[in-house]
Amino acid sequence: MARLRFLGAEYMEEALKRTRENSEYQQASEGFDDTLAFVVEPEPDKGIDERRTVGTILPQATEYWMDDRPVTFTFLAPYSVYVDIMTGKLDAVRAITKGALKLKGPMPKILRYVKGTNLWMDTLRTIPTQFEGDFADRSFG
Amino acid sequence: MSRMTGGEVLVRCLLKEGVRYVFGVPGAQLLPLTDAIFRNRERGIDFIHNRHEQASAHMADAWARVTGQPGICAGTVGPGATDLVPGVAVAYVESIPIVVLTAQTQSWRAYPSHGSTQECDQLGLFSSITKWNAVVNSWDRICELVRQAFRVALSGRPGPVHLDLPADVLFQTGEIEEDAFLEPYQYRAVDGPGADPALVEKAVELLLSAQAPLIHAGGGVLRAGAWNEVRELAEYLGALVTPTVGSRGVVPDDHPQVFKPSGYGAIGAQCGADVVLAVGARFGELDCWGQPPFWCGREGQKIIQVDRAAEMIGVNTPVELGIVGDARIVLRQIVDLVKRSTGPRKASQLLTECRATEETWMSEFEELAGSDKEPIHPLRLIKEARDFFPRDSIVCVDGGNIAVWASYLMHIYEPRSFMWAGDMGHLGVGLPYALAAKLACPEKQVFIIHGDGSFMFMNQELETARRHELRIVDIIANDQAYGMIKQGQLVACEGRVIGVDFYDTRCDKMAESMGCYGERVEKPEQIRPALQRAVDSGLPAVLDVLVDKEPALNPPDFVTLVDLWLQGCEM
Ligand SMILES: Cc1ncc(C[n+]2csc(CCOP(=O)(O)OP(=O)(O)O)c2C)c(N)n1
Repeated sequence: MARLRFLGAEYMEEALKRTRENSEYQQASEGFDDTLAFVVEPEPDKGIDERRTVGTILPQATEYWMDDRPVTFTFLAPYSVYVDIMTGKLDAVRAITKGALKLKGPMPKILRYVKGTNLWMDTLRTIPTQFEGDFADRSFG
Repeated sequence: MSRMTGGEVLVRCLLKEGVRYVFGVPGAQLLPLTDAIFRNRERGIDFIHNRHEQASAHMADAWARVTGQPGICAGTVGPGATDLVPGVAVAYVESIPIVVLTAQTQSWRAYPSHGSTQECDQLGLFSSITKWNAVVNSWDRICELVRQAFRVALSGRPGPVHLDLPADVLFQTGEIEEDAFLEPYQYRAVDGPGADPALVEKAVELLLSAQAPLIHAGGGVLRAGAWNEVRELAEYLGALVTPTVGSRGVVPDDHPQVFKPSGYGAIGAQCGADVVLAVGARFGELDCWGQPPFWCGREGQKIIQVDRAAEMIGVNTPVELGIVGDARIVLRQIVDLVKRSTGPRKASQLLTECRATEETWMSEFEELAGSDKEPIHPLRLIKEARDFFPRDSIVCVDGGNIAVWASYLMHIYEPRSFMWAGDMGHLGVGLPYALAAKLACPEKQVFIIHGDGSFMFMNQELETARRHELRIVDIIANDQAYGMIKQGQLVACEGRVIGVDFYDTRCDKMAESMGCYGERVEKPEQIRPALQRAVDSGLPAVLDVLVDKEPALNPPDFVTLVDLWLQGCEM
């Protein structure tokens, strides 16, 4: 499979499909049933010019959107932080507790689903991923 | 009118403060003090001699933690005084009131030094680790300066004080009236202060406006004996409670509204509460500075901070309202006004959410704690100890990784029954802490969860335990390494480790050599019977438990801790 542009439409389609199909993740996330958005902050000096938002509902993973509609959880970080998380350099939950990945939304619920979160990250890491700008050389898969 | 040595005047002052023990190692210059203690034993004071003065300072510290009364330690001039330093530093960092007594060379040849044997600048040495210190420069000033020592140790944020006692002052005799020995209430505040009622009103207004209030209880609650007030207020308001590491047990761990420090339930509560009543807590590092991401931040959260010391208000995180006052008295004022203003309230949805979060988080540890694997999983060891000892036992924790494991898995049910020098993180406190706790509460079971590294810092005190028949159980999680540092090196230095591994030492045999009970344990099913044998032995006991080195190197949330400790320092 060719690499898919990180958080692009094709990437999101593939991500949702793999999320739905991962039974271990589905089991660990039972009861989460909530909406999330990932906001990518631009880093123009590293070739990431635009702010980007991608939202979805988990664990259902039935749809995604790319606008700023209201969600329960918003994660916010520069592109580089997402790259670190996706390449496994930074653990997602650790990124939150370090303050690198800012969270707006009820922390207790996120902390309750740490296992699910980690399994979801593992799922996304199975997708051949193309990064942009200065991060292109960290693409994988 | 009686004729007394300086040592005896000092002892009579201590007796007025209700002092029962002076912990120390004797020395020539201390002789008038130790002899005066000997001659006043029927009045209820005694000298407990240790095998190292550091242990004496730790015992004084623990005595204060368990009883709420200042602990007293003593060391002779020079080496005796310098050996006390680490223990005094721990008490200073952790705001524990202790009175440190050091002998000094004769007053006419100290300050400046003239080259007397053992003489050193003890005033300078202790000045940065005590709230106040002084040279007792004349026999006539002993009472006055002892009173000042207790006054300062117990006022504001409590802490250590130090009196440097020149030998000539201790040896000198003089005439003294009985009424020179005042009662504590005659020279220091024995209660309070309470808060300005207008501030109490404002605090209550904020608390009653909250959707999800949280009480964050620090060591100040334990020092002030304010646990009943915390519980009463929490139950009335349906508030969540997060004790700090240093105040575990203010509300029993199995209370439905309480969350373990640093646990996911507590972090959830700290991020979700809209009004926080912080009592006797300074929001230090182990409290993640009271700042996001472990706390909500100013936008969504208002903090009321109650502290005895004005200089602690808002020191780490901005507050909505600062109140200076004694935790127990201010909480009583708040509880009374809350009860006059509203009926009991139900807990918020946040409680349900955080409880579920905490349970999920704990379930993984509980699963590991059930492990039958050999070598023994450290969590299995902690669980066995937790399940074996009665609810009102006193638990001392001393170590690196094992201490982190223990703080998560151990349940603490009573105030002043969990002792861990978490703020100073000082290895070696465990055994002296346990001994002082057992002296203070002989009717209670006292045990230690120890790392093998930390056990070795103060193991000589097993002889003190045996001599005084202090029947504690010292449980050593022996991974033959400074596990926490080894793990840190593995993470940060790409697998390189240095200075962290040990020879296989038989800690049980060391115990036996000092007349204590010792046993090595290697299988999980042996732990409980071994605990029983340890208690049944009627001796201080050491269980040297070989634990699995791998999990011992990976306590939960290790990386989060490393992130906190090494914030801003990346390799
Ligand atoms: C007096 C002192 N010296 C050094 C340290 C640094 N230190 C922190 S944890 C640790 C290792 C503790 O080893 P051990 O007690 O065996 O517990 P483990 O981590 O193996 O469970 C060390 C050396 C310290 N905290 N205190």
